[in-house]
Amino acid sequence: MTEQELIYRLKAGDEIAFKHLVESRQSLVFNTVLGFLQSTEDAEDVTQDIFVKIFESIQQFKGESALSTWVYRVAVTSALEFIRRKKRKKRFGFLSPILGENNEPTLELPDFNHPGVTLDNKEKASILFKAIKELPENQQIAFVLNKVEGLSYQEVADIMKSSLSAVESLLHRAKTNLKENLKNMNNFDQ
Amino acid sequence: MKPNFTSEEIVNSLEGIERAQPTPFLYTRVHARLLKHQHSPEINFFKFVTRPAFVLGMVLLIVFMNGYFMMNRTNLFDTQEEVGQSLAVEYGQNTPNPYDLNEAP
Repeated sequence: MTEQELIYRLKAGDEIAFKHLVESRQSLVFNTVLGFLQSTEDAEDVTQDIFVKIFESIQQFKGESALSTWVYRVAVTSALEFIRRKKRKKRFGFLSPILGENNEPTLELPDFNHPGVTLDNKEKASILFKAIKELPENQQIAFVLNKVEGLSYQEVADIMKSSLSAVESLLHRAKTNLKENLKNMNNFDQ
Repeated sequence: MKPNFTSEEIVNSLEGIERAQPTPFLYTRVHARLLKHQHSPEINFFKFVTRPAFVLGMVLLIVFMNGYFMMNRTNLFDTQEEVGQSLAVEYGQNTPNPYDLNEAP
């Protein structure tokens, strides 16, 4: 099935086309979301939501970019939205007993181990993922898409709707900030 | 024991990373979620009230009702004026005031 045909059939509400989309893009979405959320359970949940969102908003896809670029955008936006919602929940957690919301404790997750990291890099990657969380949002997006998802600078620029030089600059700043964060984390540990 | 890594080593630790895969049968779960989503009354209501046709319809209805009440209000004033005039005629109060006509009484 060509991309044009897939888009056409998706817009017509074709279930087989949707199944094809889910099966061909599930690892792309899941891996991207996992890079941001650093929790397999949350990433699974958000991945499912993303595909529902894609199915319901496919009419808004104008075909100005590749379908995968659009899927990446939906994935990144949804992952960041989830993080913001979680932070907000944590910040106003003291209100939940008053508001009568379910009092699930917001536990700090243990160190995250990405399943795709090579065995000898597991420990280092776990420290890195902790530092990635502290990066500003746009640097986090560029770093995750380039280093975790393995996209080229141009692909990252397309997803972020920015220029190649802007992405290069973002990645440079991300690395500098990461090294700074790592130094601080080290000092804190001592 | 604290590991002894340089920040450079840590930043480069994602080299050779492979894509993580979701658990099997993701489509089945997405499909179930989609059906649940489509049959949720709250979502259906929200979808209905945010439809452009519904919003436009509501705006037109408000404009029409506004116009209707404005027209009726004008008619009401006309009727009240007519009643007032007929009463004035009945009690001989309809002759113009000479002061208003700027004439000597």
